[in-house]
Amino acid sequence: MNGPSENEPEAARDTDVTPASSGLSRRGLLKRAGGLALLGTGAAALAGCEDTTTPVAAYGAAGGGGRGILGDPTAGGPVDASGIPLARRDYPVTLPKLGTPVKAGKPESGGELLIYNYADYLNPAVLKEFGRQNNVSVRVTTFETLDEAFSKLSTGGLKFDVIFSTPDQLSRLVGRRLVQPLNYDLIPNLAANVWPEAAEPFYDVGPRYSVPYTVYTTGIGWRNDIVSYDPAKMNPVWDAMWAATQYHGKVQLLNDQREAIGMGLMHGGSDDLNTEKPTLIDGSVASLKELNRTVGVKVQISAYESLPAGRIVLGQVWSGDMLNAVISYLPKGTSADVISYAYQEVGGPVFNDIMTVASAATKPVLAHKFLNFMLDKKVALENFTGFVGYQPPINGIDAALLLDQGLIPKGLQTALVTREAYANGNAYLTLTTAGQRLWDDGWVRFQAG
Amino acid sequence: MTDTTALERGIGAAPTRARRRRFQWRDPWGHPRGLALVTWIYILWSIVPVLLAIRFAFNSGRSRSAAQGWSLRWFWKDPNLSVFHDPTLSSALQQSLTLAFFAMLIATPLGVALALGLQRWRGPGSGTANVLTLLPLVTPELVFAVGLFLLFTTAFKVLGLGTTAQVIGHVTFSMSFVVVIVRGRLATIGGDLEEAAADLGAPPWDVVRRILVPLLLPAIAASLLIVFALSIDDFVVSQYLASGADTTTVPMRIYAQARAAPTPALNALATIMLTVTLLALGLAYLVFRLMTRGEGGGSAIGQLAGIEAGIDAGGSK
Amino acid sequence: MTPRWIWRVLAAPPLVWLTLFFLVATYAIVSVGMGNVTTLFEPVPHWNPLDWNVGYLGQAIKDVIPGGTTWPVAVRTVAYVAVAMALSLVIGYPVAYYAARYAGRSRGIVLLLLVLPFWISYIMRMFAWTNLLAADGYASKALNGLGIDTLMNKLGVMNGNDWLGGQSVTVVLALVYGYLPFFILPLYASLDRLDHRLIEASRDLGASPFQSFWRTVLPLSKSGILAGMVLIALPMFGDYFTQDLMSGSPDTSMIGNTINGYVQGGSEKSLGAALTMLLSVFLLVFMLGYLRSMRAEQREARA
Repeated sequence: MNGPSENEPEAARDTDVTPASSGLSRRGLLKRAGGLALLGTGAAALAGCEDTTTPVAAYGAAGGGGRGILGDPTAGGPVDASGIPLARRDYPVTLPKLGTPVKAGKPESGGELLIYNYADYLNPAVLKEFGRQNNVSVRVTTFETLDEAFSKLSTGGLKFDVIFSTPDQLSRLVGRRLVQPLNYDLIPNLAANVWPEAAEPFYDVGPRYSVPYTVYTTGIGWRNDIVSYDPAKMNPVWDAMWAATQYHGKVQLLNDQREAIGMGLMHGGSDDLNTEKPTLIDGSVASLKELNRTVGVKVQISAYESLPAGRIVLGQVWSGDMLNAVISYLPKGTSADVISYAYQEVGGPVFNDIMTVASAATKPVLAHKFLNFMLDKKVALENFTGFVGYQPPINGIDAALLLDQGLIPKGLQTALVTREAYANGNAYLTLTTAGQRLWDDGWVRFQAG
Repeated sequence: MTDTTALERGIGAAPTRARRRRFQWRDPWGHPRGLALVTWIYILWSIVPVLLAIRFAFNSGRSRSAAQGWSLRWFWKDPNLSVFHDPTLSSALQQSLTLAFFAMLIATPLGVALALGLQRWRGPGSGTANVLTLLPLVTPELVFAVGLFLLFTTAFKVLGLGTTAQVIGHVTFSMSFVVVIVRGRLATIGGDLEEAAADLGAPPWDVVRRILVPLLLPAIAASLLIVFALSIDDFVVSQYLASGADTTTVPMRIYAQARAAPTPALNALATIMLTVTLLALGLAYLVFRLMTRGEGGGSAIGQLAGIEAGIDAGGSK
Repeated sequence: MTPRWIWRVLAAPPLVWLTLFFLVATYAIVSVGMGNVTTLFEPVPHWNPLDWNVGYLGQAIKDVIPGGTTWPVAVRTVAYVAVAMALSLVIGYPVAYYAARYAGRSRGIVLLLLVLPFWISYIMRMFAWTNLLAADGYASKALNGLGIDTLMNKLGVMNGNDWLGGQSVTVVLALVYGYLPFFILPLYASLDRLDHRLIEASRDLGASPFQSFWRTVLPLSKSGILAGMVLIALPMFGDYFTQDLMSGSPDTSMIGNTINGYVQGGSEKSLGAALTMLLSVFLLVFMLGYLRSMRAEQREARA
């Protein structure tokens, strides 16, 4: 909006009714707005108001002092934002039962089953099959990062039936009442097919709220026909990222706060992936910033598509990404042998993703049926080798079977997860509120460039 | 002065060819070739990328950066990935059109009413009302979207995020554009016909209904189109107020998939969207031209551009 | 005379709508920014000014002053917008000038083509460039073939030869491409209204074409230029999607990305709201400055 003469050129030419004469002027507008703003800050200052950035207790319940909304004083140990104790391998946690599991009954049908998941993380053919069998259409809404997912879910405006997530997010999903306890009678495949370590995990004793989806490690994936050195020979393997200076702009850093800062920690020699020490976190962020300066990373999770295409030549990836790349995204004429994967066998992250049912699900029984369907051996194998590339923790699906039947290339055997590795691996787990903020702040600082 | 040659030849002699050319170059009323070149280069730079993107929509291969044959595969032939068959793409199209339709229906009457009210309102409160109407035009879209997002997740939780919220957002920022357009037209009309009707005893509601609204029809048509276009092209507000896959619009879908190397189906989706908008534009131009036949004030394109400039001068995106 | 009450009746519903969904929405930003955040990272808005918590506003201010975490982003945003505005002026002015004064018979077509980008979604125009600047895209190949990438490397605004790989030059040029139409049209409208006779007079008085332009046309078009620049600066400051589409690297992130990260993807919506408040105040100051210069110019014109 310019002065009166600029506003409506046609109008100005024809008549004398200009915006200024009708009581409007940009000056007046701004004067009022400015006046209001000054008034506001003045009032605030005078009122001598609160000045804090410490989170307050949710739901107005008594909190603080690490007690959170459930005020769980269990063992006096550290609790997360919901008051649920932090689950660790040596400290299994039973999640509080908030809500009642759905009763067994006829699965709902017709309409849509709504799923909230990462992109390209479910085989469309598998979804179509489920839809066909149950007379529903399955619709997936995608998120890019878990932070974004939790942020959107916690606004309460989104309606889903099935939510995919990770164990470290589970307790805040529970605390925020976003997921419902499961009726495991409706999911018999869990006990029948799944590895016991995954079926009855330490982060969800019972289990009560989750079933495992896939297992994976995090490591370095690269194009062995382009990269001149061999990351598999480096120790720790993460040094390969900092060594990639000649591939500026073609290196991926996972767009995941825990994974990225965790990699910085491991590169610095630490193996505590759930540290809450500010010095360690700051050190990790500093080395990530230096990485970005010298190597120019792309912060994303889509290397499964860009590595085979050559737009990324090396990156921090999840093991399943490499298999996904080979299964779905290899351009014609490129052999699967050009893709390699290596991970840190001692102390490197090995963990799983989970499936849960949303508390606001409109089709809870069908959602349970879907979870059961995904844990069926044939379906899981089809999901894995037909599209997703991430291995399910199902009995019988192991390296022997896969290599035997030629379902995965020999060169990518490192991308498979064994039961021992899973049972003893390091993992990203829930943090206390203060710890989570340290990681959040560090990530924001890194992303500011 | 250097035209000794002319002096020598005598005044009135025809200039030599060299002198004529130099005169052309320095002729202040001649056609400035440099500016014309810059303008046409700009126009090409502005439009060719979009034309190429449209060309790639018709690729028969998967490439989005090189022309590969001609095919309608990405529009409906491909059974999995084409716009018609891929539910993420077709639902985005549907959602965009739905939002634009409702925004058009709601924003135009509200905007026309507001424009009429403001134009004739003299007295206390008119200044503030004017300010309030034009504030959305000067607010950056991000600020506005954040405000609405926080509003719908705290105070107005009952409405929540989703299609309703998106429609409300679109209507709110489009309204001001409608006001600017209609007020421009009102200024052209003037108050005489109204006064005459009132003097002849027409009740106030009749004056509005039977005099003003028919006279305003071109502006209303232009408003409908502009609200439609604003809504279809909108990105920030739609993204902030979306609640899931079924409330994704075409710009959101393009944004989400653009960096993940999608198929040309995305180009096809964008092409369809562009075609719809251009058809609406063409329609509005015809209607506008029909309705303002004989009113003068420049060609219809000029008038539409004038409206554009007026709106543009009246606000930011 | 039509009674006055009918106009207020007409104006009431839309005004109520605007109050609810614009004023209250803006106030929501303030009340969340001056509120708290729970341990589960939901915002607790404080609607009552007496309850306001200045903590997050204080934190946001600390972040954007020199030395804070968001300072580099703020500086970068101002730099990008300034360069984009300068480029827009250099490219846009000649085009607007030509369209206003010299287009003649082709004026209709030129106008049509200048107005066309308005009808093409911003995202789609950026998307078209991702096609062309991909490693194997036509523009990439042409630019790299001509050596423009090495030139940009030498100038320090580019690193490597991947135009979509976190390059400042791509983001700035994309901003220019995206917002130029919004600059050209009001400038065209203002230049269109220039009195040709003034220019004729200056030529008659002996000024060369250049002098005539510099001393007559340019000062007369100042208000149009300023208007156009303010018009594109406002949305540019809130832009986050351009750099997301054309770059995606933290190296080129703008203040819009920071706000977007806090509000949509983060755990501290109050900090995001506080940053939004700061951005709005900054833009307000910007607009006031523009207004002041407009006023001065009007006074001059009247004198």
